Amino acid sequence: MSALPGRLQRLLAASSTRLVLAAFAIQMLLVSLAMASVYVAAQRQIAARDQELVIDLRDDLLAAWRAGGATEVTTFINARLALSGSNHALLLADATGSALAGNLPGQPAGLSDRNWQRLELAGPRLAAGPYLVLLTRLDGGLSLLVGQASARGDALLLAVVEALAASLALTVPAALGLALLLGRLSAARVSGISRVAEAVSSGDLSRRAPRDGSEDAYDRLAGVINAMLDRLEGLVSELRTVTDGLAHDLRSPLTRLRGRVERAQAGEPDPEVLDAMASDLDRVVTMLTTALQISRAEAGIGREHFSRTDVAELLADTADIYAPVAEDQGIALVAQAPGGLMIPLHRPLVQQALGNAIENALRHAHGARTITLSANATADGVAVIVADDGPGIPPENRELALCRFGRLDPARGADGDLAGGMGLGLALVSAVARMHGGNVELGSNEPGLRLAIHLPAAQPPAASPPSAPAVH
Amino acid sequence: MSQKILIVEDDATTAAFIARGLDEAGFGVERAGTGRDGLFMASDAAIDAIILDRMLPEMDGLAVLAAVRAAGIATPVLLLSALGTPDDRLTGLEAGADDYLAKPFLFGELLARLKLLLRRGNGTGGPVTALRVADLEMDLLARRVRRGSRMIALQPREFRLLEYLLRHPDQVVTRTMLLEGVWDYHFDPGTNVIDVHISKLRRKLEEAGEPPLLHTVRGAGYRLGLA
Repeated sequence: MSALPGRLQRLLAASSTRLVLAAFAIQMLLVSLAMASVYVAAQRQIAARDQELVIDLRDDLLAAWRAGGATEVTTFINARLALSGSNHALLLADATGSALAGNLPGQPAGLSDRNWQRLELAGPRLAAGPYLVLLTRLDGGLSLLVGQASARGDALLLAVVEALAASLALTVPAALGLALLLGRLSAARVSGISRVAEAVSSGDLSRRAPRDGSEDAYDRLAGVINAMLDRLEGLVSELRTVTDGLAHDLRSPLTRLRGRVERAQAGEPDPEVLDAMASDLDRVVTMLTTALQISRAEAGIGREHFSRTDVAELLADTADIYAPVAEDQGIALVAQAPGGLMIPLHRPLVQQALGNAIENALRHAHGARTITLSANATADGVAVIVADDGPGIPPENRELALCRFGRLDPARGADGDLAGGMGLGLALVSAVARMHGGNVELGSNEPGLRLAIHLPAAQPPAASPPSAPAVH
Repeated sequence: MSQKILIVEDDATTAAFIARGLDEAGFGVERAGTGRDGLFMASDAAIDAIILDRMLPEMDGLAVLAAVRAAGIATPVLLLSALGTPDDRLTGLEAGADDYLAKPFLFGELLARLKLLLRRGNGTGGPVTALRVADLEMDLLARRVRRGSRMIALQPREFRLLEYLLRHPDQVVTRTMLLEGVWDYHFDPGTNVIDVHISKLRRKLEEAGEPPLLHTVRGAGYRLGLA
């Protein structure tokens, strides 16, 4: 193989080339089998026809023998030879083998006792060539030999072989060409996809594999790959948003902290400055923890910690925690849910999500009188609803409110508001809902905001491996 | 005799910071820098509690914990971790930890939780029907609270909060300990929810002229007790 030029070697090594060659070889094998069977069938047909002719002639001669003995047979042979020319070998011979009648000088050399045999015959009244010969013994030591020239049959067989060879000569290059063409076509379609993959791995996430809408295997492959790329691009852009958002939002508490440290270094530390520094630090930690938590929930980490939970109890406990704070703002926080709503869920995360929703309402529902936590059974699980009677969010802004670092008021939050105000609060709610296989829906409470968390009772699809990202 | 605490932590600065704080609080301190050393020293019966970092060289903290528990050592373990998500906490508790604290933490928080663990070890035994601190009394069966001769009417959530405080008299309890202990809530709410709970409760516990009972401990949390 080492003698092969590199290009050919590569070509042979390519699995598509090997596939094409294998297909071609199989095709050729099938064609050869078909032709061989045509040849054999033709040969048999020709031989059978020769035999039939010989037997017919012999039967006629036997009838003459029975009717009038050797005299009658001689008459018949002479009449027959006059009629059919030199294609038949006929001989009536006596016990010594010398001719009594016929166009053979005597019993030919090499004649055996078998009935059927193939002999080369020649004679003055006989076309030279191969003959199919039938030997019949008669009474009184006489023997009758009937032969049929097989040259015509051989010529026919030769014609068949020639036709087969001609068709092979056409078929082989055509089949080889077709196989190569098909191989090249499929390689071209695969290479379209692989060029996209190359572009993507070198950083261009916007490239997509071309589709022809035929819904064949290649087209479906391109579709699946494009869907995967859409998801990847979404994740990457979300990651970018998070990184940029975190960097931006961490900057303000860290800058403030830097300033306060500087002032503390300059003179006697003021307890109030130290307190402010501590809460700046807490803010930074909370932001990082929440961002990490969202990423983990998005990745489905923690599904192994689902437990059957009474939703009414969960709502009552959560309302309990926030009720005094709400009261101080003149807002009544009410939990009302029917008993018996039990579904498997991640209790700490759902409670945190509820807390975020409540804090969001407390912070943004200016002028609200009531915040209601409620729950009801749905077709596939439970819907938990946090509703207020504040100003609400206009429909066009609702999607943004659920995005990480999606802030409805660009100016707000610049002072490094806590998690809820950083645009992380509702994003966590949304991530937790998705982790449960559900979603979050923002609607109008007429008036106010109605936030519905849909939690299906069925376990979400197979949990991703619970490998935590390495965080040190 | 002072109680002895084993600190298993590979970061020397953090370990020194914890050791100094514990020393000032009157504890004896042993230190291990790797999981293997930590496991070896944990089998010392003189150790009263273990502060165990989750990410350690040679042997991961959870593996150390599993080995300690498998060896039948019931010493209380407080797990420290850089991962602050609820799942890490649950994983830690499932592995046999008695408490879990995410880094960065306040030393006050660590100390309060450690003291809770040490006290939990020598439990009172027998069902309790009444709790008392100074002249504040709680009847758990009748669900009544009285200070001196004055009856105090509490909402159910205020009752739960006070019950937790009364079960840990004269101990510092932090905001997160209250959230976890009273409401099983494992997340630090951004707002000052616990402060509001406490100030409402305090108003009911301390009327004009009565000595203060519910104290705020700077940088740590709250303490129920006289003076």
